[in-house]
Amino acid sequence: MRLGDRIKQIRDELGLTQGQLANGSSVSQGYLSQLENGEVKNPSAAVLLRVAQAMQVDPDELFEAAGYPTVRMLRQIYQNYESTVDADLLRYLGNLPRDRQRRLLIILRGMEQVLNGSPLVGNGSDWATPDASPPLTVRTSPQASVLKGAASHPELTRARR
Amino acid sequence: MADPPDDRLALAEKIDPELLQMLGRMSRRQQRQVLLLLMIVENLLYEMMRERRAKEDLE
Repeated sequence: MRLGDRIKQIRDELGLTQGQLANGSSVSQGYLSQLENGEVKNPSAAVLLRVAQAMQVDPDELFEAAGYPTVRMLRQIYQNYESTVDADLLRYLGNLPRDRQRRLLIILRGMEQVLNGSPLVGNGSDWATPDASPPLTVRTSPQASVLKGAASHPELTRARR
Repeated sequence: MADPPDDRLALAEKIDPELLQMLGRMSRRQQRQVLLLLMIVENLLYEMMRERRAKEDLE
């Protein structure tokens, strides 16, 4: 069910008018009307949360209807993240602005697509042009010790400022 | 499962959930490679910025 239809359905079940629900969720009645009619393309999570609270329903109901990650899903991600994601990487990402995090996500998704679409997974030859120089190799064995000190490397620290 | 401590949640909430989810699917080794890549890119950006400033100062 669409988000707008779901909100209207719950509101009708509760016997609330649009004005009452709008007041309770601190949004204008006009905005709520647009929301119910499917005229708002990307309503903010904060608005959905307020509307859900005003109707005393689980916010996940509205998030699911809007196609957003649900609170349940976010909780699961956030509760498990420490056991699944490298601690240094987490700290590093925590200092990156959201827009850069999204850019990284786009890059990683792009790489995933390349891997899924290519039969030459893993040897890097699909990246090289016929007359290209030999691919650069990165020695990975000392990586852990390099990274251990890298976060406090003076140049990297300066770059972050 | 018990609620995670506040500092853990505070860190997690700074990170895009979709990115966290994607990283969680990667192996630890690949995650370290991502961290290395980010540091190299950051260093490169710093170097480029420094050179640009040096050129501007010369001009």
